[in-house]
Amino acid sequence: MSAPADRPGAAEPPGRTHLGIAWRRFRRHRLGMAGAVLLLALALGALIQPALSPYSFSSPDPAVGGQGPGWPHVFGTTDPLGQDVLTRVMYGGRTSLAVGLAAALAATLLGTTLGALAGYLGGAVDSVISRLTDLFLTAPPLAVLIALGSAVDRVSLGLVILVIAALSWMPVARLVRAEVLALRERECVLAARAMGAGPVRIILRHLLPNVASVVIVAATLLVGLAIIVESTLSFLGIGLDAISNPSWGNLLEDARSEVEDGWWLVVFPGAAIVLTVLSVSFVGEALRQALDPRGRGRDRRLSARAFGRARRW
Amino acid sequence: MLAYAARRLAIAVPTLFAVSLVMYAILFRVGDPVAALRGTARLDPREVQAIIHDAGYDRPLLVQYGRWLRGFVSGDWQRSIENGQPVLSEIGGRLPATLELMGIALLLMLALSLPIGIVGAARRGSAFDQLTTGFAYLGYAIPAFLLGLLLQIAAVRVKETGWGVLLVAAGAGALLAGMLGIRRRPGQLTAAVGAALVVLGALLWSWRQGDFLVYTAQRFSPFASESVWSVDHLQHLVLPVLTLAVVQVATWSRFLRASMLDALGADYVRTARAKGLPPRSVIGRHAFRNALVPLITVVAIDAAALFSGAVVTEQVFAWPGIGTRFLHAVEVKDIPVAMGIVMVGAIAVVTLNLLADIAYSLADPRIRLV
Repeated sequence: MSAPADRPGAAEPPGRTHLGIAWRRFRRHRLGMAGAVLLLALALGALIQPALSPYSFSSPDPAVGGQGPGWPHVFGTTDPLGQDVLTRVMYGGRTSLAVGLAAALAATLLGTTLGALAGYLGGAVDSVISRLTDLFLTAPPLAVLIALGSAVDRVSLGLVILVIAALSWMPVARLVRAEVLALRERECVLAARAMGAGPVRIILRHLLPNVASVVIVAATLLVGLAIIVESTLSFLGIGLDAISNPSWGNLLEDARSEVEDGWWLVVFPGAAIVLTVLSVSFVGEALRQALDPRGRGRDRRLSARAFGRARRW
Repeated sequence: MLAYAARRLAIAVPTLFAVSLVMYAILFRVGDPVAALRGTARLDPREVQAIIHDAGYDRPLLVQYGRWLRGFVSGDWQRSIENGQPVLSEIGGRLPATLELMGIALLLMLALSLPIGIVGAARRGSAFDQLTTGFAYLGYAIPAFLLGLLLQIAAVRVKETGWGVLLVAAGAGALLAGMLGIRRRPGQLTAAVGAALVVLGALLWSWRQGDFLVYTAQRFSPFASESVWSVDHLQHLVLPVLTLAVVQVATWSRFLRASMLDALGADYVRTARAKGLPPRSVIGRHAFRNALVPLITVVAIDAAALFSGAVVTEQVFAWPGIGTRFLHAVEVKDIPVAMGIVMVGAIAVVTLNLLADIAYSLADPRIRLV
């Protein structure tokens, strides 16, 4: 897995921009490229689904109900209603991918902000934020999600995104805090402070660019996590409602009663989830190797360290 | 040591309070604790109002919470709205099934992830390492409920076609083949497990005539003796235990592999090698002992998080534990039961975190107890 890009920076031609070098390294990571291509294909399929398929999400055709994969229904059809599973999977990708991306983005922003503040300011701010992080790590996430899902009448897209983000920013905050703690004593930061730069400017201009690679990699991992969480919630029947915002998890919830004689109803939406999360982690892996300016080392095992704990479903 | 434990406890208890307050606010304030009553035709709205007043649900949040907390601490966890049973006995009745599932899954996780992590690091880049790395990525990417559904499908197919035992034997054989190049003890252990699986598969094959049954739901068959030592019960256990185990094996084995690689690159390992110690001793005694220390924390924390995993797994397999009880309680808005189960989970998390910290400092004498 690590063989082709294990030695980035070995023979880098001089005179390239940082991004150019990163892109070259990224392209060399075959699994990462495969993941990126697959993700783009899935996103495209979700976006232009009506142009690709003659069926719509829920248009029934009982004459072909319960068919296995074949032609013209490549992924088969649902049992009594005869809806096209391929269309449903493409359509479901809209919600799943949107929730994954938006929740990861929100969690990353929140985690980075809190982590940078805690790391740079230290003192009371640091201990308050650190306690908060501990508290959120102690709260049973699934229980909170389920309780919230049941407490409100209708679960909207925004609420799901917000809640998933609120329960997954902690690893990012810890990571950024640790990085900033190490960085803030650097000469460049001292120089900036000596020239009278305030904390906001120092954090934004001097610290965050230096932690960007760590944050980007963490964000990709969060995308996968958020997709898994969302599908789990929808599967349990407390996530988004299947009519206005069908996701892959909703499709699987529908398929549950037909596990015995409709394997395609489970396998195809399931494969969509697994492939997406796999692609995201390969892209993250490739990004990590491409962005790490010192090549190997420092955050080599970022994923195992920070996210071994985050996966709880 | 005692002082350290006391200080950790002093942090753990307020954390528990904070979690319970937040959960109380979500469940009792955002949610409607008497929603189950409002639907019943026999009660007229005034009676519902009276119940709300008696239970204090019209009081300020903190007053309510204080009232709940007093009961909670003194062992009165209120009663189920649905059936009037005390919440504590409701939970107590469901806990054994969950603990059984988690305990067995935990043993399986350790039995698999320790050898995989050690061998993967010791033979980095080998076929075995690449194979298990691939499986780890896959295990990480698959949501628990999906794995459960896929296992159910596989079990149904296997039962219909009868080639299940061959599948088990083939999988175990592949594992064995992957291990063949390894002369270290963990490798030998895993290979022995693989061989045992093959023998077990063959025995089951001859005994069951190819009809290798694993059940896809429930804890016992209807009308079967509800003995936890019966074969029937074991057949019910297989799939949920596997479902719970796979994700954790994926993360733990990767984590152990990573910290083993750290340890193997350390100076003391080079010294041990230079002294001419046998590789078995270098890996087992010098590297593994040190790599185990960070794993302790992760295992303790994830073991507590299994409580969440159990909710999903129990739901997929209709396992009568506290996970299904929680989902049911939430569904019918039986708030006291839901709150009780959340608190059991939170106490488990906090306790295991505490134990992890203490175990960590015991296992690694370099850590100062402050």
